[in-house]
Amino acid sequence: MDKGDMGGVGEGSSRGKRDEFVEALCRSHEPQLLQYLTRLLGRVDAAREVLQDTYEKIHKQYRPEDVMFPRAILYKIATNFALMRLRRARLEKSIISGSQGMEKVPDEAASPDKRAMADEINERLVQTIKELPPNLRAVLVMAHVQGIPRKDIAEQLGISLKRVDKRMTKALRILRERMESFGIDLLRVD
Amino acid sequence: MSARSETNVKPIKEAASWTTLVDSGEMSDGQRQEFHSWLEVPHNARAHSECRTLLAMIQDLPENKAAGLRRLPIPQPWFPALAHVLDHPLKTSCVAAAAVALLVAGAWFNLRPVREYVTQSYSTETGEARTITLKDGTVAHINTKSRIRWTGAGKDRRVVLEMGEVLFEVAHDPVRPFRVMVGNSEIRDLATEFDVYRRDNGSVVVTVLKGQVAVGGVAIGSAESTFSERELKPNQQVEYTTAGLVNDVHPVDAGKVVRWREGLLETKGLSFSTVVSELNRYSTKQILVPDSRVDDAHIALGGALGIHDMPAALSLIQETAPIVVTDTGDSYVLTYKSDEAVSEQNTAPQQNAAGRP
Repeated sequence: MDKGDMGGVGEGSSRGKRDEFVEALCRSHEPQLLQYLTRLLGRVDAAREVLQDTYEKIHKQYRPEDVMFPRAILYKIATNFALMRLRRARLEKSIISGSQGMEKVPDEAASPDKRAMADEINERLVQTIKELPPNLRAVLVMAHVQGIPRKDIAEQLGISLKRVDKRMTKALRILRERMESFGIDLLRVD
Repeated sequence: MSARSETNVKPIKEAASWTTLVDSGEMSDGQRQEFHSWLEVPHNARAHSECRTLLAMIQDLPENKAAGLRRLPIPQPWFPALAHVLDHPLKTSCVAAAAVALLVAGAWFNLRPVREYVTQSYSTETGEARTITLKDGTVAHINTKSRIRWTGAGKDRRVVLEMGEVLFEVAHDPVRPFRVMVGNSEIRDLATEFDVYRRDNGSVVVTVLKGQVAVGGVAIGSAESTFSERELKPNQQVEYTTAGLVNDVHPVDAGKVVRWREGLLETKGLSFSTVVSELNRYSTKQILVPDSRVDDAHIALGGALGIHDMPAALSLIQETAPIVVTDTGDSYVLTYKSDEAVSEQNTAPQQNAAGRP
């Protein structure tokens, strides 16, 4: 149970720190992530397995001090595993094997530049959100910054759920295009 | 570069709408199958991952940047019914004439400013909780059986707490202080997070999570304020009634006070009767404690109880305290477990624990 004790004395503390980090990540995002994966895959048991794979990967691959976008990493890796799973299910059906699933995440050492770059990316993101048409921006900010449920957003803005979804889709599309035009590769953000 | 974005437009558009559909929780099994085949194209899968990452980044923005976004004005519905009709383009032309008429009428009667004075009420039913954004961008998390009314106008930001409990995340505005009116008292601040709970017995509990607030009585007519203004810092709480202070400013774990947001009640440090009355807030089927020995026993619980599943909370209480719960159909009756029963109970959990894998 106590993994820290099994490692060497010198390694114990860094591993403990990593365990803590992964555990804190899990605890704070698990319900949402599980909901997302269940909605994506359509099955809770599959979602749980993907969640487990995700945690293991993060545990193995990331040092807490390297992570600037914890939630982004969590969702990216989870989405990757979910896709692999879907692909595998499909391949098993057609008896073909050998999939190139995960893309390799470069294992860079933490650098002071990294923090600065993360700040820069966040600043661009905020600017882009601010420049969205107010109607689109409101829906996006309410849902993802303030965490207001979709139904309540519709009610407060006096619009239908369908319109909330439409505005969200449009906002997301514009943001995605702008971020690309800045040369920010979202899949390399970590 | 333009060529590249052109080829990207389609998957991005689709990726965004798939992402929204997944998040809506309303994707049908058929749609999910279609979505899964769409994801088989690597280009699509990539676009989808990008959308997901983007949302995660927005949700994870540092607090100072998130606060900047929260502060932006939210377009208010003009006439909700009209907006609803506009969602159905076919009807739009029929409505256009009416809209013009309304605009003319509005100009004539100078209708627009009137909107500012129209109060907006938000309420919750027993067991319900919801989050709303007020006109100024302040977020209000409304707990069970509560009602607030926005009465701000122009330079005034004011909310009346008529009953229940609300946690406010106040949008920053140095010019317009934010005020919560509770009976004859007022809670005033600039930018903070605080919880106001108007108990059924009439007392008011204010807990501060972030920033600083001032709590003071307000003279109503000839009745003067019953206590001098108090200033609260994070992790401080005060409780008062119209008659005066019940519990002066004292330290508290504010995070635990507002665990109702997560659907939990932190029982540590609460008297048993408080736990019971707290649980009763969330259910129409009430807990009754006719047995005075329950109060006399000074039962101290610990840990958190779920507030939206009364039977589960009660069975947990029954396991850990010398209490017997009887479900009478329209209420739960708690009685004290006699000594003999307690000693039986004392051995029972041990067997239970040993029996567990």
